[in-house]
Amino acid sequence: MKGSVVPILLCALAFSARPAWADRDPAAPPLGIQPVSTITLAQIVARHRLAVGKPDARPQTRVEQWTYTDGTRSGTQTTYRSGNDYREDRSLGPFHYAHGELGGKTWEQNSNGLTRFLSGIHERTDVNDYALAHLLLASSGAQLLGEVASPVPAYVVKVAPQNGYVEYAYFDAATYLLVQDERAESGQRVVWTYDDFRTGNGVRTPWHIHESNGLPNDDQDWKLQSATIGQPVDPSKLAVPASSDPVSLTASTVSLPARIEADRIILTAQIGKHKVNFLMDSGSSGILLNRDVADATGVQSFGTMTEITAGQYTASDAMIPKIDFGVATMTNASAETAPYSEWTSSGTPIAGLMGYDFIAGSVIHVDYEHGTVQAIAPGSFTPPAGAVALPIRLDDGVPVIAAMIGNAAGTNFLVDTGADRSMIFSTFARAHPGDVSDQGLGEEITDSLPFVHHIDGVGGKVEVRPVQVSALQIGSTRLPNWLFDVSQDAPSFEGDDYDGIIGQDVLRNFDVYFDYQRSMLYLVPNDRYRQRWGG
Amino acid sequence: MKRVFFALALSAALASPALAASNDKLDAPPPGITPTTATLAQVLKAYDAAKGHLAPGAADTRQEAWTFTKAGMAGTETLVRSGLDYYSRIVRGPFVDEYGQFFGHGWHRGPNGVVSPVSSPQYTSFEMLLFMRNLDDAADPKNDVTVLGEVQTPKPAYVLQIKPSGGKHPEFAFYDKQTGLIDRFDFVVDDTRTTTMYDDYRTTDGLTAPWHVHFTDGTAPLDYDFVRTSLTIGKSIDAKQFAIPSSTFGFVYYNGEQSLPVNIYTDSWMLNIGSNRYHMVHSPTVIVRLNVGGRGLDFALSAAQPRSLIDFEVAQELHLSSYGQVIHANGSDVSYDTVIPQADWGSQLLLRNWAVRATPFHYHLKEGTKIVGVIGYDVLSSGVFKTDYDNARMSVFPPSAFDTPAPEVKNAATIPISIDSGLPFFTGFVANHETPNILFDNAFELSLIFGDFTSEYPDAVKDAVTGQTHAVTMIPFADSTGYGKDVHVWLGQVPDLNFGPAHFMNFPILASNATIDFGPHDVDAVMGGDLLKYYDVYLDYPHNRIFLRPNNTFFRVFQFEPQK
Repeated sequence: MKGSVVPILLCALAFSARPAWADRDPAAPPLGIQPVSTITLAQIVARHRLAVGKPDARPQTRVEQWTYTDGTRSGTQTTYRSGNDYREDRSLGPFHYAHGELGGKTWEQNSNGLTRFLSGIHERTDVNDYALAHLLLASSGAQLLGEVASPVPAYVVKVAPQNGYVEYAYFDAATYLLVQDERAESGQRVVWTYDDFRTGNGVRTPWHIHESNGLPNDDQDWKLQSATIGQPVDPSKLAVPASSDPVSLTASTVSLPARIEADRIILTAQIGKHKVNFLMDSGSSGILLNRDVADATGVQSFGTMTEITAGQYTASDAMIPKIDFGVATMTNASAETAPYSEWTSSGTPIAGLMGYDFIAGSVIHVDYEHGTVQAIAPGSFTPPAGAVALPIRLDDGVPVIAAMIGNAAGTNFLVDTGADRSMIFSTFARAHPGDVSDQGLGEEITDSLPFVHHIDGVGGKVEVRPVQVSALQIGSTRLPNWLFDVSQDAPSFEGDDYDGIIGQDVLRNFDVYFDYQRSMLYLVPNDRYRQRWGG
Repeated sequence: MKRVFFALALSAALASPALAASNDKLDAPPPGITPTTATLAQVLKAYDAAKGHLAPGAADTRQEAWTFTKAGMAGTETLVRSGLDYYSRIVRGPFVDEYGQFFGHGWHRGPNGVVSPVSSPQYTSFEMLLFMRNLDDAADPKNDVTVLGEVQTPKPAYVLQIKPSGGKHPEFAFYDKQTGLIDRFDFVVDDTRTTTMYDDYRTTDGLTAPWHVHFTDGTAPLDYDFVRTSLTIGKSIDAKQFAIPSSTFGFVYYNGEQSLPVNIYTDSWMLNIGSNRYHMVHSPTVIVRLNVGGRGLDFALSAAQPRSLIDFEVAQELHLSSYGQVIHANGSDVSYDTVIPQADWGSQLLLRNWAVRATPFHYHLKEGTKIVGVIGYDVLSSGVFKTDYDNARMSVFPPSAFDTPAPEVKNAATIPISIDSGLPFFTGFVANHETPNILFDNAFELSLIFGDFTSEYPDAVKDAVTGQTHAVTMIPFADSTGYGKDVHVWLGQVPDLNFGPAHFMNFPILASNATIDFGPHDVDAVMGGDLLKYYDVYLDYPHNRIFLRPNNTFFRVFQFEPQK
């Protein structure tokens, strides 16, 4: 079930502490391993292959019906496979998700019906999946660590491919089947267990899979109810579903009820009988609503789950009947609720985040200088003249662009309207120490404030240090001597594959157009830009 | 004792920024500005070139020395830093303060020689450098900057207006036309327009910085003036000096265990908890009569007072020296540091050359009893102080007597505490929610759970009368008219409250949506005198713990089950 749709929320407002459960390094070897000299890795692999078997001559198609639980919620999952193509549809209460691969292109559809193709930002997962399937290749980094007596007697193989995760695979000492797998992802130890193995088309596969990251209410569980093998699969069952249009506009171009306070984009919507302020947050992969607001406006919540961005918090899925911006409306919008709220320096309450599902519904034009926000019907949008045009990738529902720090190129910088300042993540900083070296201002700040700096975000804080780099280059725009916050040891916040965040300090110097449907971002320099840097 | 302070803090916490009146004078550009053809890009480019940059690759260390005058008092500071480790020594007349940080552990040794851990950032050591942080405001792309024009006096300079992101007031920076550097910076602090002047720029290792900084808020006697006398960048530094030192208690004299005279006065008062409901508070104050200069003065004993205080008027009556500090300005008294040559606590404990803060306050506890000072952390950390509320007695033990807990606390509960800048905090549970931010303060009249906690865990502190979550006014609707403008204090019903040894079931405790300012450390709750009066309280600061032993009042009031 790895690679399935996992709702994430990358909110750059948030930031820090290691979660309480993370007492051990998530990449540390399992406890209780005893050395073993009676068997080799090659022998284990050979016996594992024998145990799994080989597919018979029937067509490589499968149709599977699963029951599924996610924390406190339960639902169903249907999988169609034909060769390398597959489609997986999951239903949890009123929510429906899907993902798949067709013709070599992977895609996802979220619970608001928005479909997007994936560019491969998270290729580490693929790297590990390949390594696990090819343990005898040197590139897998596989190493037999020994054997354990529990949870079942098993041989433990460490898998550590370059550019991948550290992973521990447990092969049952009696059956040689893979019965448990532990992987260190984003600062968490994710554990999959497999049992109830059954044979179909010559291959033994588990009919029961359990996933746990150790956090309350985050366990997932799959039980296979039926499997049809070797029968033709209707191509329509593998098709990529059309993307829905979750936002209705009253005209081809509308001015949203918005204001920009201290570079934060605040949208005011009517929910039930109340006005609610949302932060338009491109760093959020969905819509987040304050739990108290949800309860008070009668928004129905479903289940509970534990999430970590800057810190750990409990969230629920929710269905908001109507989010009404007057000129733009979302109906039956899938969202999350969490104990998130904040107040701006002028006392404006913000009770939610308006992220991907809203931004993707139209082209959003943010005029930072004049404090206005427009929504433009994608069909009537013409890219502005003189704009810096940047392709974006939306694998996680957040816009990712390429940028250069000094002379170091990074392909995965998150454009985040919710982040006060731009950030460089620790992995990028470690990989490019020369380009992420301070040009003076960071040292001057440290000289007068030699303390650990934090930035606030959803659920907690993230530790940072100020570093002024020689230049930040986005497309053809080069911004000299840029001050970044460099995050320190915040794996859950950073994620595994991002290089950093482009925040409001950059964006406020432009008219910004988010065109998610064409996967483009346009930056038009404004007067602020011209006054500072000419042009 | 702290009721008045509490009320003031609440008022401050609830002051709505939106309600703050804009003041044209605060925001007005400086006079004498004429148009200029210079552009922002030109001014910033010239400044960047003039300021230069530190030579790359230099070690992240600095050693510098300053002389200064603050509010009339001259002093010196030496500051040594390596990365995030630092040590500073600040000498003002007879007062010596030392600050340090080593591997993330901060500390402060005050004028009485007493050391406290400091877990929050402290800025005193870096005041003069913080005045230079403004110099980069115009270059910060988060701020809106415009060129207003130029002035001719006192030096020809370009004037830039800076509107900080999210700020209420503009700033004005004067860029010297000849040097490109900043001569002057005007900005607003707490609704007062201030001016900082910079000169004597010198270049060290490629970076040009001012060696003379003068700050004024318009009240000349209170001006700050800093002159740098040396600066070395990049030289290796011995890390030993960053390490936390031990306290010295040369100002406290007592010989072995002593029984000290105190009075306990229990004040009873009604607290309005809304909807025509009132909560009766019975809170004790520990009163210590000190003999100072032949006068008997009543001091309160406070477990959470970082430094000892004396009332300004009393200090004047006692002719306590100000050592040159300005003590009156703009028609108001100005707090100052002073030294009490000798204060006798009975005949058993003497305080000699006791550095205290003279500040305007007094508290009429009752007819004939006027509190004119507070005994705080510096004195209390010199030994183990036991308060016997039932019998109005106090004892002090030498720290060594509790190196292994004394027999009399064998059956008492131990609360491990962490001291932050002289404030004792401990970890407790409120309805199963753990918090390390519970302040232990016998001088706080009531135990209270504050807004940071009640807003995060509203279900934990339900209203004891209604049984409902007291959160209805806290929902952050955009069209709410009441949020943030009303303080709510309610009697909470906590199903399970662990404050130190006390495990209260269904305990009624006051709760509020307001936060309180005790400095940079978050405070989720305070265990105050209303609960502590049920115990013999042993403040064992030398060993970072407090012992609580239930007294007779406890057994008279509470039904309890002994721990098995």
